[in-house]
Amino acid sequence: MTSLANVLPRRAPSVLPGFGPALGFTLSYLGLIVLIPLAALVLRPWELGFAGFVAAVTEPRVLAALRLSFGASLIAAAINAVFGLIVAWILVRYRFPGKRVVDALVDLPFALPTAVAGVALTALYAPNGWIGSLLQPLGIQVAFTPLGVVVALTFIGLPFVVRTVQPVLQDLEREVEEAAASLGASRLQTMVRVILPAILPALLTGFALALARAVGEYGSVIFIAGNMPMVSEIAPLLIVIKLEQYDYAGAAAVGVAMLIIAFAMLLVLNLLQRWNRAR
Amino acid sequence: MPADAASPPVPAVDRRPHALRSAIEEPAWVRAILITIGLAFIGLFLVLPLTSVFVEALRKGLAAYFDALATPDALAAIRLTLLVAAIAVPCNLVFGVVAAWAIAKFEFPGKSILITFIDLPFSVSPVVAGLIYVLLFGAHGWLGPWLREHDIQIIFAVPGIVLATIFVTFPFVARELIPLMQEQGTEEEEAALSLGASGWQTFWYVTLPNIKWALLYGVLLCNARAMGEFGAVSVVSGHIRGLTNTMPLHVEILYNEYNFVGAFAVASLLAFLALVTLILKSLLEWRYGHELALPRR
Amino acid sequence: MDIQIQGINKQFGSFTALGNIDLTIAEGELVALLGPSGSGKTTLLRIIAGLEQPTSGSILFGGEDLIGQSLRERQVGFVFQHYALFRHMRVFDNVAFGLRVKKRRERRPESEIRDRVMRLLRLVQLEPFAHRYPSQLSGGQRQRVALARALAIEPRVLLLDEPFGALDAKVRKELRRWLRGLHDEMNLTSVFVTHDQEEALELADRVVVMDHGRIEQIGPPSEVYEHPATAFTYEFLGNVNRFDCRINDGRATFLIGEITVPDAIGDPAVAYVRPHDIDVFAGRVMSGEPGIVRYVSAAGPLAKVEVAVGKADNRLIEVELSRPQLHHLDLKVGQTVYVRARKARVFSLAENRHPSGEALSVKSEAIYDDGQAAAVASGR
Repeated sequence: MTSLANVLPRRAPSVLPGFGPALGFTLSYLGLIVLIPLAALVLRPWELGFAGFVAAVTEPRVLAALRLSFGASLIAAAINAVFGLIVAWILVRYRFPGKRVVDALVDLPFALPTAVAGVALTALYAPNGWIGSLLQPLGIQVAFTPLGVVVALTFIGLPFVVRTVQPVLQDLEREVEEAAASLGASRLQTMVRVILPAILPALLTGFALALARAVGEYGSVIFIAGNMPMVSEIAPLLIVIKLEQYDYAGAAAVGVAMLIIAFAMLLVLNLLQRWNRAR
Repeated sequence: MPADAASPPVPAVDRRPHALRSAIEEPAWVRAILITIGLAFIGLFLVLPLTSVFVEALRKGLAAYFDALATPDALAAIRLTLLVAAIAVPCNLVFGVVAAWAIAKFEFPGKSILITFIDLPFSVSPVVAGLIYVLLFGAHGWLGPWLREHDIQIIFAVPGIVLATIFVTFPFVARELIPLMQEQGTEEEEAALSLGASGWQTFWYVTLPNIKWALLYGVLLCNARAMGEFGAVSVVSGHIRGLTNTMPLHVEILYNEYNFVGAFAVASLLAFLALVTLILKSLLEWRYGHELALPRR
Repeated sequence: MDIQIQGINKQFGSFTALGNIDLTIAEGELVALLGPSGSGKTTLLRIIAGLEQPTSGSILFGGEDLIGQSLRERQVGFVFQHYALFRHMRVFDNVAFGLRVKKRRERRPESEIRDRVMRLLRLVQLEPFAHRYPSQLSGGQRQRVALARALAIEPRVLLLDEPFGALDAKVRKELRRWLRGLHDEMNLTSVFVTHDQEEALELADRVVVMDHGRIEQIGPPSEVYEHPATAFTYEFLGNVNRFDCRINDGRATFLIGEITVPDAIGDPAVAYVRPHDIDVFAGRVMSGEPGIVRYVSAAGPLAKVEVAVGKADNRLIEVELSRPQLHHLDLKVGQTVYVRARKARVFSLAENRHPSGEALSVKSEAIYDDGQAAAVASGR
């Protein structure tokens, strides 16, 4: 957070007015709402001492929760990478009835409150729900198991891959595919060797965005997860539980651990985007 | 009259519908399979959950539905949700415009770090967003004792809910405006100033009309999230019925009490809000897509 | 490999992009498809390549009918207008692509592919750039990569879509000369599309002038330029002034002159006069039209002059004068002068689209009785 010093005005010449006040307001608001509170979080767990912090985040229940959060998020993001790519592809390349509605609907997980998604998915996948009752005879239980967590996180991450891949596919020159075909490539070869490498950075970006979102997700998961300690308890829920027990330091420790991981992913994301732009 | 031999250059992009361009089409069966898979995925993960909200809400009929919505607690939740959004959205709207003005129209060192910081709340778990305010203002927080002495309640009260909501919706307006205004540059503003307009006039008559649709777009998304936020608000609210319960929190309470019709009735209002948001958003994209900085998303 | 194009039609919905095209291209020939945008030239090229299917008609390579053959079976080298290089591949991999996607039993070992690619890169003078990405190359270099890539598959014919369209003037000229040299060396049957008449006339063995999905004229550059068969060709190749004209007793009269025409030509007709076929006089002459000098540009080998003539001076005529002429006349903007056509070409509009395809036209020198024309003309 010390890098804030870099932000302080060393103003480039411009005739437009209002730079000082605008930047001042921006920095104050950002500081008060985001940076200072986050600093409070980052500083809090250290009252436990370093050993205490490490102990707090390596507690078996915490580790299990982190493992579930990341594991389920990875699986959900992978599902979204595959199916999101297909959805983006058919939206850009094919014509079918209701295409515009589908295109608009893709953003539903952005617009639908997570709690609503949570209760709706639970109702669907509960043993007596529309889908749950179909899966029950097959011996598959989704609601109140880690599988339910994956389902909820897939829902939450669905728009990311579609929306990052879609514009790249749109901008892909058809000429390039024609060139591949004229050079003797089969359609499959064109897809694998020409189209896929071109959209790979966007696909990875979408994957990372979906992953980052899923790791922190709370509302849509807690209803369907069943929240059994060590089994289907996600990391954000653990923070809430620790808070309810007034274990502020413990909650902050888990929060910081999640923050560090989120930052690491953000970094990877930025590198991906830079790589994407560089080409 | 000179009949110049050079014709205008051929358009760079072939705009013919690609159905006519057979050389690089997948076979029909491949297309059919891909469309089926894509639609099945959308149906399973988006359409079904959305439909089930309304079906569950109306399971016991319209009368039960409206009864569930007319309870004092539900009405209080609706009021609180509207109040929170009415405070949080304008705050972030003003911030978004001001921040975008500073970032897009001026050059200064550290700009990209600033943009990263503005985007930060999107990469923080909503629960962590709530947690940070508890750590600051809660009974055992940094400012907790001081606040108690002065009898100011932030956590488990409306101010905490508003703060948490502002945090999670922080970047929405700014990130719609910054790329757009960067793209637009400063020439028009400079022209206005050279013609004698004041700074405010320049903003009001030149900048604002250029960004109005993007602004609306950002406000729309900001509002949807503000009304629907669950995790962050849940941590700071204390779940006091009739007082600190927003609509999403009320859904949870009713659901945990096995009052499914009630839970889904309130949920259906939120789902309806989501649908309206999606429709308006799509309309904006179709109608004014070129005035939004869309391709980057 | 020679190419025969027989009765090609192409409909896009109700729009006829190509109507009954017949064309034979000899082995080793370099042919230009020349026309304005929308003339169907690119569509024809894409049909030859197999990128597009014709509504009817056939394409034969060396007598073998290709219709129904897929793009990959045709073995054509196609160079795209915007190169269509694979952005994520280095130059080397771009060129090697066509060799690497061959079916396993036809594919050569990687060492042979390597040799072949390097040979091609040498040919297009890009050997040192083998490991660059396309984004690190200039436009002309990208164009040559695209060419090397197309040549790598040992194409039966080479097709180029506006090969120089996206390049700046200087590079365009260099590349044009280089491509001509390359073609003469390899003797590969080649067709290229262009809307630039200068490019077509300079580069091609034969020029095919197209308009509205039809072939207007086929011939060697000199013939097409000297003897345009149709009004369109005349207008398209070089600058012209166009005049409505009246035919009376074997004489065609138009705003700035008159010429004799055979009886076969009747109303309505148009007269075309090239800018360098117009004389300018300081004083009144027979059949000369008075006008006011609006613009004089003396840059370049020929001076460009615009003269406003006609009622209310509402018709601008473009005239080209040699420098001595300009010097002699000492033209000033605003000055009144007399302009007169020395040569004109008259096309009968009624029969321009004669079923036989031959447009009726006459080219003639105007003869005036005052002898002044000859005096000025000799000054050139």
